[in-house]
Amino acid sequence: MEEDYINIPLPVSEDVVEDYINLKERTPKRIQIVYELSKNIENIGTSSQEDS
Amino acid sequence: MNSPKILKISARVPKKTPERISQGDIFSNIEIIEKIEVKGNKLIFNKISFPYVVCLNQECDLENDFNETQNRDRKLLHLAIAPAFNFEQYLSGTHWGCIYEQNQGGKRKDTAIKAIMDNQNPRYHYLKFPEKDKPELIVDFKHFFTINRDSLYEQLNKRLFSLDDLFRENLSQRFCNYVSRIGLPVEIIDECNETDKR
Repeated sequence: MEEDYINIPLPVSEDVVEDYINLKERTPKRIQIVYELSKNIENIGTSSQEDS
Repeated sequence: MNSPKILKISARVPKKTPERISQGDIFSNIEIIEKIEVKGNKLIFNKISFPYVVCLNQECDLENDFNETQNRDRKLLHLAIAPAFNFEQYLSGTHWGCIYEQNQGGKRKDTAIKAIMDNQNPRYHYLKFPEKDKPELIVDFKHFFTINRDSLYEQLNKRLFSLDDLFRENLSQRFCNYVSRIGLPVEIIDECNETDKR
């Protein structure tokens, strides 16, 4: 089970897709945060409360 | 003798705001997660930050949730909120920023805009406070969404102000009417055949 837990480092980039915001003209904006991990995590299993 | 000037309002802040989240609370800069992607060794969080949102839950549900000391199902998992926009930006059609293409917008004297400002358009709720330092807002019920309850409590410092009784009930009732509306089908008329029949 230990394999299922990964320490997530601080984000490597914070890309404000719409960098258009100030106090007078405020609109919704998209934000993308990318965390780069030390290993591939695509095929790592999941755990739930019932598993433990 | 001059007659008193009457100011038409559609919102008022309460004299006291409770410690807990209330119906009609207006928050600023609330972020929601759109999706989380895993690509190789990258974990990508896509979020949207809303400049203004308003809480739509029933007041009694919020009170019961706050007073629940055990982990029973009176506690809420998510809260219903709707985005609100600066009304001037709504008029310019740019209120969604880059999320959607620019809307048509309008002018205050337009019949359709007057209907919105009179809260006669079911989709929108117009908020005009008597205080000049409060923003003139428009709530869009169509785009309501939910946010994790604990997440919103963690951002309680982003609460700008709340709505007083009556005004928040008006908001709630209009939201309920909007989401419970029944869209009737349209009838397509073949004008050529109609002409033949005559």
